[in-house]
Amino acid sequence: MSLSSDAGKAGRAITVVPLASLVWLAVTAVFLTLRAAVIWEVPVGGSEWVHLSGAWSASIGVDDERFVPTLFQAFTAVLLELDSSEALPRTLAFLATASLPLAVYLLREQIGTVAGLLALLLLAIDAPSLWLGVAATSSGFDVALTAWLLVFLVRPGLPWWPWPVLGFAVVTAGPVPLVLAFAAAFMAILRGSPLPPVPALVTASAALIGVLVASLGFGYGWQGILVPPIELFAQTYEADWTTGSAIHVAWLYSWPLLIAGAVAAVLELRRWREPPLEPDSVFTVRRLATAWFLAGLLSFLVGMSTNAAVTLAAATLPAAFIVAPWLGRAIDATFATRDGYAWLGLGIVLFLAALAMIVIVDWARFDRVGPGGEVARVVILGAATAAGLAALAYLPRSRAVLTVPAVFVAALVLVSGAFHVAFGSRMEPFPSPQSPVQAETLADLALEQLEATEDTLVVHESLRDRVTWPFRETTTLVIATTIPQDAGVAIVPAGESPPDGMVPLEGDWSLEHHIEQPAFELIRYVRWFTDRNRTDVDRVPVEVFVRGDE
Amino acid sequence: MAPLLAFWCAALLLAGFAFPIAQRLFRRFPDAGAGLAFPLGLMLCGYGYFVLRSVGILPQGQGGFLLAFALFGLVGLLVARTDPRFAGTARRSSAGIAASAGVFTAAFFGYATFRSYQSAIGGTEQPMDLLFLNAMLESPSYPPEDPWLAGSSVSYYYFGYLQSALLSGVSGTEASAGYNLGLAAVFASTATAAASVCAALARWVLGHGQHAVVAAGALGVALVLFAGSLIGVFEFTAAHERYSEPVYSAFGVESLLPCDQVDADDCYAGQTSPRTQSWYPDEYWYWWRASRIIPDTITEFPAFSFLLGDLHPHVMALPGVLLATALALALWRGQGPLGFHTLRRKPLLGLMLALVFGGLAFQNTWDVLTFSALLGVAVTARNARAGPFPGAALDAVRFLASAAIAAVVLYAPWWTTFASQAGGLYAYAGAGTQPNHAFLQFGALALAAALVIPWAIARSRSTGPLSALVYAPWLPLVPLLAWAVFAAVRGDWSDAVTERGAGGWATLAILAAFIWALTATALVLHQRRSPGAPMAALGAFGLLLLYGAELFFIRDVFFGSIPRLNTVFKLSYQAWVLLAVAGAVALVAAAAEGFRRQRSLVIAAAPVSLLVLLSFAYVIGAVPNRADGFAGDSNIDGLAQLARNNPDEYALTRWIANNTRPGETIIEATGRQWTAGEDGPQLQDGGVSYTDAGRVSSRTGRPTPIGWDAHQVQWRGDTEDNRAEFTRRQDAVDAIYLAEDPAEALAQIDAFDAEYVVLGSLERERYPEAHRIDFDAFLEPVFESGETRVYRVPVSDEVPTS
Repeated sequence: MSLSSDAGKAGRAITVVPLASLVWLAVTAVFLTLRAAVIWEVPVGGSEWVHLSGAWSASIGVDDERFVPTLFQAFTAVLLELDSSEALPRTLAFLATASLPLAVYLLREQIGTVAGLLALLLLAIDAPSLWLGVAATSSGFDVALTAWLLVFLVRPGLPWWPWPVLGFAVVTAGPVPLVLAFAAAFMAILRGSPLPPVPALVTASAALIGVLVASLGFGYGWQGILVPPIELFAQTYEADWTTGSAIHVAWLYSWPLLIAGAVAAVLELRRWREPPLEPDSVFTVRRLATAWFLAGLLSFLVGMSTNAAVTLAAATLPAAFIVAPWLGRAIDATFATRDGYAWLGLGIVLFLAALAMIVIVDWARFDRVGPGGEVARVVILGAATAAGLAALAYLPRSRAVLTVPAVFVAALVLVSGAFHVAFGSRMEPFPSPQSPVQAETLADLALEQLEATEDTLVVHESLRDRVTWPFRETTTLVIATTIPQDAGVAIVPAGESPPDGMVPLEGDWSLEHHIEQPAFELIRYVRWFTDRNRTDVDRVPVEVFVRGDE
Repeated sequence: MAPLLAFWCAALLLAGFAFPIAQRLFRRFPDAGAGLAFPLGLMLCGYGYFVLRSVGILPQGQGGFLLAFALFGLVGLLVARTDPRFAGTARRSSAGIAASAGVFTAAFFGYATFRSYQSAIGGTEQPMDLLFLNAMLESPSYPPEDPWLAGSSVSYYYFGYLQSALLSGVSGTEASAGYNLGLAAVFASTATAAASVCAALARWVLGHGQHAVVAAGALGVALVLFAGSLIGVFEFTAAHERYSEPVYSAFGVESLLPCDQVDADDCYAGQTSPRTQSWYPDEYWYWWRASRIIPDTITEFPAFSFLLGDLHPHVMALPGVLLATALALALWRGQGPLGFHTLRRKPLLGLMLALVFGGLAFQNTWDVLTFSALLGVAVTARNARAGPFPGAALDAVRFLASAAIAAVVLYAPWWTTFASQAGGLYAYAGAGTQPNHAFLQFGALALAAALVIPWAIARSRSTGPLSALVYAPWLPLVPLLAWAVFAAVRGDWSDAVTERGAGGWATLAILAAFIWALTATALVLHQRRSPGAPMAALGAFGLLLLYGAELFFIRDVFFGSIPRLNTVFKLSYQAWVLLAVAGAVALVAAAAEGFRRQRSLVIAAAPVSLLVLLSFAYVIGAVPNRADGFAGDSNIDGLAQLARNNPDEYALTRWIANNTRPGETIIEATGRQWTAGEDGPQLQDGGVSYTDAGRVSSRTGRPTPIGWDAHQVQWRGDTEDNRAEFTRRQDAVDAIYLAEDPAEALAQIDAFDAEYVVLGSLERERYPEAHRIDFDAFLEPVFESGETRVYRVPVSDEVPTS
């Protein structure tokens, strides 16, 4: 593929720009643009809120168990000493993640140019990994590191020196590379090709140094023996980093990728016993990616009811790599389909589906299922659509055209999810819970109230974790269960009556917003999908009391 | 249903991971060790988790369990990939592997279904078991903290709880359901292990007759898990009012007769006609009596344990015990002498021996001595096949000592926190067991195991080397002489001789005769290189344990009252397993040989078979009795009944579990009963064991200053210091509820570094309202349900923000 200018006729040198390069650039631009937006647009929320709070505490010398000393978390603490906003750590994560297109580009030799491009495109529009790659969580380097780990694992003839670097990086990163490392170990054992003794020893030593450095908190204090990826992996099963469960987040943003990944994994497993058709390195990358996806999927499935979406990213990242080659083949096959009846059949099926969807969208608008006649119509149309799809799938010559509706639906879900997460509406259910802007306003107001007095700012113990970030750089807080006499401003859970000598500060105050997620129902999902601004925001209310008379 | 399936999947996966290791150890078994992969997987993965948590690498929670699980999967894969014979062995044994998975599945779901009709965790020592299970799941550090003694590590053999916790943790099951599913997994693992061992022995003894191998496996499962005391027959007849005073008296069960038909203090005083409303005895917990047949002892057996549903170490150790037996048998059967050189050549074997036998000590310390001795016999027997005895024994000692040292080192984190309460070996100076009671309890299994004698005779025209008959008597005689010496040295000689009545001596004589005969048979078979030797040896070993418990006891906290209670309990439990395995194979071997060649063997086997059949009467009646006729609600969650009957207490449990962090100390009632008095509260009843004391801690794993104090004495030793400390803690906790002013209460709360105070129905019942302090005045109420409250202890921290 190339574009050539016609300038040769005029006697000038011909400039040839390969089309593939242009496409690589375009996809990379999409990838970077979506991520760059996160830096400024997305509110602090989810695990980022937790880890920024931890990093802030570390940066001011306060012990805080939310500080899990990954390399990125340590950098975050240092950057917060320079500037107290989340922008710098996010920029650092963005810069690291910006190297991912290069990593995928280097992988094209193993997975093919088209598959590489498609993988990059899928990664670009995968909302969970998009957010994880830029947000200032402890796992800020995870997405980039995982991609580079994959490159080093599958590149033939690699020198030994990257291994210790990777060993150190993996044990000081978050949980996402751990899943790939596990899959790589699995494959190495399965293939009987372990790392030679010397690189293995050096890598193990580097990993031990990493554990030691992490245990020392990268200079922020002894944390006990700590392996950050293990610690963070375990925390994903206990933590409340998302308002909804991991399966709920997947239902909103990633189900097409997970389903496609599962289908691709089944296809890969079916040819597992066959002799390799491709060069060994290609063979390796496909199998490794399959093992990686299965490990990620398993950790996601086990933790799907937990409130953390990190395991979801651990499944969607490899999904992109195993779906891409099969997607490329499916698209090729679709273009090669010359059977007019197949296309006609597809057209009819899509028309029927569209008719059904029109009714469903109408129901969604009013948030209720319509009358019996409409239900019957939707059922009949749905059944006819399903029968049509089954018929197309049954006939080998028409099977490929099914790629069209599959890609259309998947693109709709993934692209809209990616754009909404990237451009950070405060109504988007991911990330949630969020630290509201109002919390920082409240911090300013509290400071204003206390300016002229020696009184203290008291925060109820149950709100301790929520104030660390928005109240940074204010004043020394008193965290208490009962309001002391010298309190100038007191922030307590809603429903508390004012202590003697204090009056409520007018306003609806909140330190935490939960963006409610649509329930697991088609109507609710369509309603949310067609109008995301209808999401309910659950503002966790607090009372603010200030010293003064009634 | 979801926890049930998740737990089952986790158990099957774990066994799959362990199978490559199991098949290297048990390649000669018909199932290539698949049936033993369940206990082996739990032991090895549990060990990995324990070590990685103890050094601080794995964190608390489901993620930690999952990582240990995944790492163990890699180890299993590595072993499979480095074993060139793995694929071939697995292919050859595919039927056995499938059978093991099937047996596990059937047993797991079958037992879980039974248990779901009686799933409540309460009564007996079940709160203690739930406590330990929760401690394994919730402890913020390892070795785990004792939730009934805040600030201290558990001092108990808790490996079984850790293994149950592993499956709960991996499958994401709550402890209250994990408790019952853990029991189901133990039951199912015992079934697969028993089937595996019995099938292997049967194949060695009988050759490759598929039907006999399957029959031995099935009968092994039945005898280990479903056989019971023969009192079950009398329970049936008595329930249906078939009385015969002479027969009942002859078997020493006159206590089942109605009081108006027998002249005895201990008699049946319940409803007489009809005595049961059903086809089975419906008297409440009638099956309990089978575990108390021999006075002042406990004669528990597996069927009873699984009916009762206590998740006790000796129950959870059953699969491990069978695994250890299988290892001993596999080594016995193997070729070539075993010495120190073997461990250098086969390090995996040494490592597995250390992990399994060290794990056995960690799981139920009583078992390690017995089964190490069995291992010693097996190794010595194997070495003696290859060379002269002194050298063979020396090699065996080197081999076993190396493995023992490795076992101690590998489990060092546990040994350092464990305080054994064994206070030395004593000669027993009591009446001993009456022969009729011994027959009721062990007759069926012992006679089944003894069938190896006629089988061995029938297989040979000659009686074998007479030297065996000369050596064998020493086995019963040496312990008897040792008993006499011990009794004389301790000054109990006179009592020891006079106290034991004719019945006691008769039991000893009968046991000695059987041991002599079985040992002689084992020696003869060994000298003939017959694979039947281990079968006879297992029977002899089982009877030797019963014999030993008639002569000696290990001193423990019951020394002053019922001294041999634990010794009889634990040794007879081990004997049951050994006799069941030996009996199952011997019965099948005798029957097979009888039908094939020697009709006289059928005559010997027939009455024994009848006795074995009668031994199942116990389970047949007890199962519907325990499950209340399967008429009630079915729920695998052990706290479902609490949720139904006491929703406030249940809500309290859930709130504490969901809103407090592991390691945060909770103040709750000590369980001591106080009454109002004019001069202040009066202590009315200080007994707290087997009550609801420490119930929040037990149900959530959150530490409390003191739980069942008498059990702490059992675990940590009956010393003045210990008793003083436990009483001090009880006084301090009671002082919190009965304090006269908040400062006094807060001082005690601070001393325990406690975060929450519970005021529930138990606290209201145990501390009189007139003297109870008003927590509302100085603590923050954070939970309320009915009259149940939880208070947060005041906090005031200064936190800089820049």
